[in-house]
Amino acid sequence: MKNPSIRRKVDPNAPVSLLVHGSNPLSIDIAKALIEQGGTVILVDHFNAQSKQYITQLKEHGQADFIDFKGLPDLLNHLPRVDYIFYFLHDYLSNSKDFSSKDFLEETNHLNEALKGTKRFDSKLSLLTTIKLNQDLSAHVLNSNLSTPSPYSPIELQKYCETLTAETRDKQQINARIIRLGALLGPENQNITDETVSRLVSEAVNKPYLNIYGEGLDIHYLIHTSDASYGILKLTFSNRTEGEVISLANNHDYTTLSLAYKLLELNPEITEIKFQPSDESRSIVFDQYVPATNASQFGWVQKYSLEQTLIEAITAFHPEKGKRILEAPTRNQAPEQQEDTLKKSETHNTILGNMVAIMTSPFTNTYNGIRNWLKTEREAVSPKRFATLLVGIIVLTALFYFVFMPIIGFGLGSLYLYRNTKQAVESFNSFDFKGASAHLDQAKYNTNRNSHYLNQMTWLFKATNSQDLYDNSSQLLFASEYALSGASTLTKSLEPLASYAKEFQPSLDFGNTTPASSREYRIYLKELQENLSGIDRASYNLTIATELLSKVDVAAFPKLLQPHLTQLKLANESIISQVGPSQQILSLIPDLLGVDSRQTYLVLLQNPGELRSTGGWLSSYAIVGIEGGQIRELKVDDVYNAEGQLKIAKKTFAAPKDMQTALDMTNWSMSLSNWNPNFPDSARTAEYFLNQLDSGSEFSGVITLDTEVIKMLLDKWGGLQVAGESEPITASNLDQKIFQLHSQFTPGQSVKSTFLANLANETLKKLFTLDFTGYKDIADVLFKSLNEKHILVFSKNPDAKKFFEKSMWAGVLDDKYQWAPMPVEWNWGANKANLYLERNHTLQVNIIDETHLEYDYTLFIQNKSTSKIYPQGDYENYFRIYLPLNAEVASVKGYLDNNYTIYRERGQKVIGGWFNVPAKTTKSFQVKYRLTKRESDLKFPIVKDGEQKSFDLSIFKQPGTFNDVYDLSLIYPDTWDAKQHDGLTRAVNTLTARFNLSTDKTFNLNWTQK
Amino acid sequence: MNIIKTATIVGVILILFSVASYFIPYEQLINQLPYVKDFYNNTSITVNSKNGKAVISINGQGYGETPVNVHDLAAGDYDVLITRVSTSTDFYPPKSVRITLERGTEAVIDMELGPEGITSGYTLYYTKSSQTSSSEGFMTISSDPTDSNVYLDDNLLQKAPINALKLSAKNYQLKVTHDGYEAITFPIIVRNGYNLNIVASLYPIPTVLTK
Repeated sequence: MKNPSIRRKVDPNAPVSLLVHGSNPLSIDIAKALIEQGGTVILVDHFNAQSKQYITQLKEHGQADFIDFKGLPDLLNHLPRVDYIFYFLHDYLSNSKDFSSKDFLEETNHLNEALKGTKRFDSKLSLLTTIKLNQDLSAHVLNSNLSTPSPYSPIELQKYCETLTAETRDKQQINARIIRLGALLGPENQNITDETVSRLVSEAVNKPYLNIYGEGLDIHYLIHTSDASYGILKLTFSNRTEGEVISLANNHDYTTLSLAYKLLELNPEITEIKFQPSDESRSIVFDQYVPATNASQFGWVQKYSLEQTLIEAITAFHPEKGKRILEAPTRNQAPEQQEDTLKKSETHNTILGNMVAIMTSPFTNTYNGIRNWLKTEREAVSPKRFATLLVGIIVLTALFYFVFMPIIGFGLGSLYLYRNTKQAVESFNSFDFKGASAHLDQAKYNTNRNSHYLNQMTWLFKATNSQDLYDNSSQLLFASEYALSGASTLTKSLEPLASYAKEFQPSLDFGNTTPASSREYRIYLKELQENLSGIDRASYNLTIATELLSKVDVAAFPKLLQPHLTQLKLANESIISQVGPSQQILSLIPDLLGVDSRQTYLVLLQNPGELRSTGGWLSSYAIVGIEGGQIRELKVDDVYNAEGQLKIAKKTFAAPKDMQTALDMTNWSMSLSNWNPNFPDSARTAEYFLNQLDSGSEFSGVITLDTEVIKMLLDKWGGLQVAGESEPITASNLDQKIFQLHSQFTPGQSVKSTFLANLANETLKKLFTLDFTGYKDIADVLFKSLNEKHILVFSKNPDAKKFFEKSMWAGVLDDKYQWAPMPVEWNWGANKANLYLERNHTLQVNIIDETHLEYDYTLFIQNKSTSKIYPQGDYENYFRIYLPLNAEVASVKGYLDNNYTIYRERGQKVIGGWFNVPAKTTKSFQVKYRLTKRESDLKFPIVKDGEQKSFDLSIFKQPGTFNDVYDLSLIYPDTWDAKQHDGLTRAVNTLTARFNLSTDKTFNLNWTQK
Repeated sequence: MNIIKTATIVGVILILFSVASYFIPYEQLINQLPYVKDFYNNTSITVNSKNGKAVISINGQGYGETPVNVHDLAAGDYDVLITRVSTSTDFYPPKSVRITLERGTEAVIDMELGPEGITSGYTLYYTKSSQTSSSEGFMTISSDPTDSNVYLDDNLLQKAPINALKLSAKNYQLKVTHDGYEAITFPIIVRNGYNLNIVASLYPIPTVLTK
């Protein structure tokens, strides 16, 4: 039949659907839906009364037409478009038992035409077959007891058509899918293709009992016709289903027994279930059948429950009975029987079960998908697909291990590291060292993980040619691990010290001799002693960490990180210098704080405004006794009071000879006890004076500190409110206050000592209320003061003495200073002129050769005093300069009236005289001398070791001087090549430097012969 | 759409596993498994004593007299206490040595305990370091007395202490000397990815008094 009219009727903008074998209720349902969506539907079937009836129904709905199979090829040639082709093979198969070869061939030709049309129009084709026949095919394949199906049976025809569709899809890439339908149940469907289900429904309608053959465990796939038509449309329209074989049935395996029970439940007229003997061979097979992927995997949702479906099926057979069932109350006595074959979990009925199902559905769907994908049409595992799955697993594992895990792990590790470090700092600040140690351990753990993840990403660095970045990053992490390990061990070891600092309450304060507390802290000091090995270990790790960090090349990192790394390296350098001294100080603390016996210290307060040999005029002193970490003795007094008491006791002391000569005096007093620039000697002298006052005075050590230390502390704290003072004492008004007290002082008065005691008390109170950051500030001030000689320490503890001398904190006039002139000033003008002076030292050393050196030293002093009224005035300065013993002095200029003495002291040559600088003037002093090596000389500045010549030049800074400008230049022979010049600028054969002499300076210089 | 959904699920799973794997304490878990932990740790501590026997205890647990070889301890820090066997009590003070064991490494203590706490010998153990693209390791050496001269294959390196010196990963002969002390020589192996920690202590040479 030719159909040119169809071609004219087809709206080129509306989708066109072809329904082959469309004369069936399911097809009509689908056709109606398509028409409602504005599409054109063409039914293709054999023309008969039923098909005529269907097309009449459809035409009332909209654009629909009908052609016979004979016109199909022609139709496809003339249609402008076909968007969907629904091939309802299931209906054809269910209506036939066996076919003739002609029918078989015809059907396959129809399908072939449909496939060609799909290719030509690029349409979507859905081949609808049945699960039942596929199940039967499986039974025949797996059960050898069953006979081979006839070649023209529905089983074979379905198999052939599915295969043809699949092959055409593979070869020609057409958009085809195979949808296997479950047994259709519905209100208008009396033809249930599943025999067993059909029989059960029929018996449910007609009989008071149901027969089950065998155990009733064979499985049935059912679907409501409405669910089926919705499912077919959804699956056809979806692109995800292209090339898929899909089971369109309720996603539940119903056994015969479960269906029987459901019918029993629904129909109260059924009274029993009878079990009959079965055909065992078939039942075994059914257990092994695995259907294709269920349509629910592609988004289809079952809307009709089993109950509803069965009721409608019963209604289709017997409307009245179905109505009665609908209206009947629920049958409560029907037992709910659990069966092994029930695959759907009951938890789906609960809220939690639903939530769990929703959360795990992606994973279970994936698992089911993989499981189904692995199996071929013949339900056996495909080797090719298994191999593909294996390769996929390997690739995913590699992706996980080499990409995801290291990148995410590194990110997480860095985040946690930042958090741990922050928490550690907070714990430090609140003196919770235990907590800090725990956080540092955690930080170390995270750093270790990061190192591990970095190693896993080696391939990435190699691929991007960033080996340098990898090496430096790895080294940075390595250094961090050591640093964190060291810091953690250190905090654990210092826990007793932290507890001591946190809990310490002084039993005494200055001015109050009645103990307020008897508590001791010996236990903490003992614990600290026991932890010294931990401190050593921490120091070891920190030293390695700082060494490694110093070698990290910042330029290898991205520009964004470089400033931070540079800052880290700078902080690292300051740590390096503190690790060693800190470790040694910590080891000394228990002994110094009297862990085993009382330690008594003499503290001398010096005023650098009136410069003296060891730092300044000795104005006051304090005695501090510490035992078990607690203050047991505390006293502060003016030095004149001590002198007065000695005078009253008629005790006089002869000054050293050189002092007598220099200052034209004979009697020595405590305030002048610091004549000797070698502090240990001056310390012993001061101790001696006090011993004369109190014969029981035995000191463990002597400490000097000058007013600069107090000013630095006041600067950090912004001042202190001192009892008896109307305004806070600050760094800027402390000097003025001292001048005021001095000018008002008369011996025997306690005004000055009261002020100092009050100031000291407030200082102590402040110290005990500080947090960790505050103590860090104090530590910075102390270190600075020690390095700049505002504090000098003399200890009788051998280890402490050795440590302080090595650190250059003991004010020892070491031999090493002799290779540069050592100036020592002594203000004898009874004023504070030193506060108004500016100094400039110039030293030129001319190295003639290894055995001859010439020195030219000049000191300029400018007195900026504007008047002679105290504290300003003329600078009356007894000036000594210490030279090597064998120095040949060529000239000396600058002494008053050119009058000076030369004498020997402590193995050195000393030149002494008056180098005065009146107010508003500048004066200079110069000395030139030569050093010549003699055979008997054990020491000489230039040390020769083979071809190498070295010169260790140490420049002495007098305590109490501030930032004097120093110009240094060294001239060496042309034949020498300077290999190491320690920061000095090299120009031709000269090394120069200009610096502020805030601390002693040492230059280690090295030459080789050119 | 199917592929995108699958890829998204796979990606999410990988991310979740990556996050979860960060929190799994693999080392602790493996150290609970019998037999596996031995294979996994693969560590050893060897303690020798010259000129006499010594009793060894590690973290408070006794291991008998030297020579002692303890295998498969878990990675971590250990305090090794060496007490010289002697008829005179208190003449030879015991010596405590703290070492670190890393997986797959060995620690060696070869020491002679003398009177008044004087010791001679060496301790060496490995700690993890950065992996470098070239086959190199690190060496850290400290000595007692400090400022001892350190020679590597008879070439003077520098004075101790030496911190994290980068060296090619291979075997060396190490010698430590100091004026007035007996020198010691022993073999070392520098390993890629490890820092070899060495503590060397030297015996002072007794001074001969002359009339």
